[in-house]
Amino acid sequence: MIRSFADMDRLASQKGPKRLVVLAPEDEEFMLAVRESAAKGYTRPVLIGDREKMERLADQVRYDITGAEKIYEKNRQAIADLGIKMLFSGEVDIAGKGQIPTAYIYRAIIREESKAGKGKVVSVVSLWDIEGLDHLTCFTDTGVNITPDYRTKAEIVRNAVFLFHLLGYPKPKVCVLSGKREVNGDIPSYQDCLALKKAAASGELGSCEVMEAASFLDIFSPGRKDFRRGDIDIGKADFPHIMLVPNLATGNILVKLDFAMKNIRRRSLVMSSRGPSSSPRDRTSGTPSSARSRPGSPWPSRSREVRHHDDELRTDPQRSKGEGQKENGRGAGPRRDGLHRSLRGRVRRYGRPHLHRVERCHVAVGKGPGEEGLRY
Amino acid sequence: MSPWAKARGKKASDIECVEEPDALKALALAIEKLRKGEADILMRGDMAPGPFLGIVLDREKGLLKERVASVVSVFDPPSVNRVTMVTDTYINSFPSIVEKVAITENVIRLAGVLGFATPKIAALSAIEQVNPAIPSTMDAAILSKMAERRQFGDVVLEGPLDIDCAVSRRAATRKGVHSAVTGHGDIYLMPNVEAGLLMAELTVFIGQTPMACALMGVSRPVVLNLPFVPAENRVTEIELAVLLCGRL
Repeated sequence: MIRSFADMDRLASQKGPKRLVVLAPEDEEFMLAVRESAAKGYTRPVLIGDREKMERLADQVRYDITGAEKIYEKNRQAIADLGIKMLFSGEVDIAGKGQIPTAYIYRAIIREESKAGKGKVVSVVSLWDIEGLDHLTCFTDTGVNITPDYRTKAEIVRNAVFLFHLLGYPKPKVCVLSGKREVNGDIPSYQDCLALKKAAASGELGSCEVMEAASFLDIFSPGRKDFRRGDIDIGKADFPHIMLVPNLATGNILVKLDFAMKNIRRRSLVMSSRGPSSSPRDRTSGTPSSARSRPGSPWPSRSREVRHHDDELRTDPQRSKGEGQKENGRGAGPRRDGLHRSLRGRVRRYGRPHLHRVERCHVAVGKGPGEEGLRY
Repeated sequence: MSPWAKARGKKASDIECVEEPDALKALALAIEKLRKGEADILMRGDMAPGPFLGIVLDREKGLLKERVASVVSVFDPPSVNRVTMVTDTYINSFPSIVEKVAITENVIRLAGVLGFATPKIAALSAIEQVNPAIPSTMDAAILSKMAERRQFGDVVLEGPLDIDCAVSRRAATRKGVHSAVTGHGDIYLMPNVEAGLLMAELTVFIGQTPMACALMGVSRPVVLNLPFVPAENRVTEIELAVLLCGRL
């Protein structure tokens, strides 16, 4: 079982090297992380970004990138699109986010997921490694679904449960968080909580347990009228592995509260039919999440009940500008699909992902749902 | 008089006790005393928060004064040399823009009592850009515009901001957000109560941050004794109510 990020680091190095496409490694901290993961031997990076910036930063961190595959592109959305296409086509095992807005990555993944036609709900799992807690925990969905309905929440839970199975937790505990109080009656998230409990009990969510608790108060002070801060010990609490947030705003705010707390490390992964596919920079160490390729694991195929879409994410002035440029059809500006002209051949190749070639990209080590034992 | 009180030299005349076994009648009696000026602060005891607030927030029988009531969670983060306010953390489930305006006015009133001359307010949402698909970004933008036109008085209000931009000027700059609020927020307006309540709970339970709550939008100070307030901070809540006497 992987209990901390340190476990992941140790085990990933035994599993490499994997092909890592790095989207805009134009930040010193991230370039260092790429150098480190390559030096440890668990990744073989493909760098996509601004040539001048990449070379300057590589020089700054003393990382020799002459041997690494490099694709030069300045347009942020084009970088995201190309990297995610490479991931979905199976050319690389992992996609890593660099100095690029997360929404661009989500947008590219949602498009590819839509093309793949597997009906998979894309969701973001943000892992917390909390000192004093003997297991990893996560918030989900913290990035894509704005106000998920019950069916979407069930898919989001399945995604997270799948990830925790891979991390070696055969029956993760799920807390369906809700803002239920003793005023203003039940709110939809609490109704979803009750429905998800039933679904979990009947095995619809895979091997997991949905807890009675629906808030942090329930987790830390169940059934008590009073509590003292000094008595709180997360190590002794029945703390869940997975915390399903009621909506995007809540998830985004909660998961980033680690800034105000001691000894918490965070990493996030996008869950798609291609598996976890994005590894934003870790706040503490700057080390990217490790991953491995594992063919044949059964992602559940579900009907699509998703409220998200790329146009529900951020507006993108840079992309709009790019699309304006492509209308005149001159020079090497971005094309209709947001990709640079010089990449056209590559895009043609990735236009229809070869699904039979697609292998799933999983985090670190472990096994899929229903499988017992660990392989590390 | 309890033996504890006697042992500490307390006199029966120091404490007025009115016997009323029925909780609802006791509450009605207490509200009557507040209205007559025979008491200054109302405090919830063993009565459940639901029925208690049901009466307190009744415009006729209770103490509701403003358009809506809201709860402000006041945090004392160890790393910051001032208190930080988060609202609404209990009452309004999914407030409309009209309700958010009232919630904002309520918290600004509390900030004034606590000595913030020009409070810096962050209207939080999932992202820092205005997106019609995410209504809370629209609400935050409206509040921000209203503040710019000084409809809230002497405040600086910026929104929408995601929490990264709100707490870190560096993150905000990277995302192209330039405001006096980023990295220096005094008040955080939450997009809905799920975010507000769960943020307050997480900050108390995992962040171990001292916190007290104040009910705003009412005519007299009310100590709610909400279940997510740590026992160590119950006295702080009474102190907060004392400060609010005559200022609501």
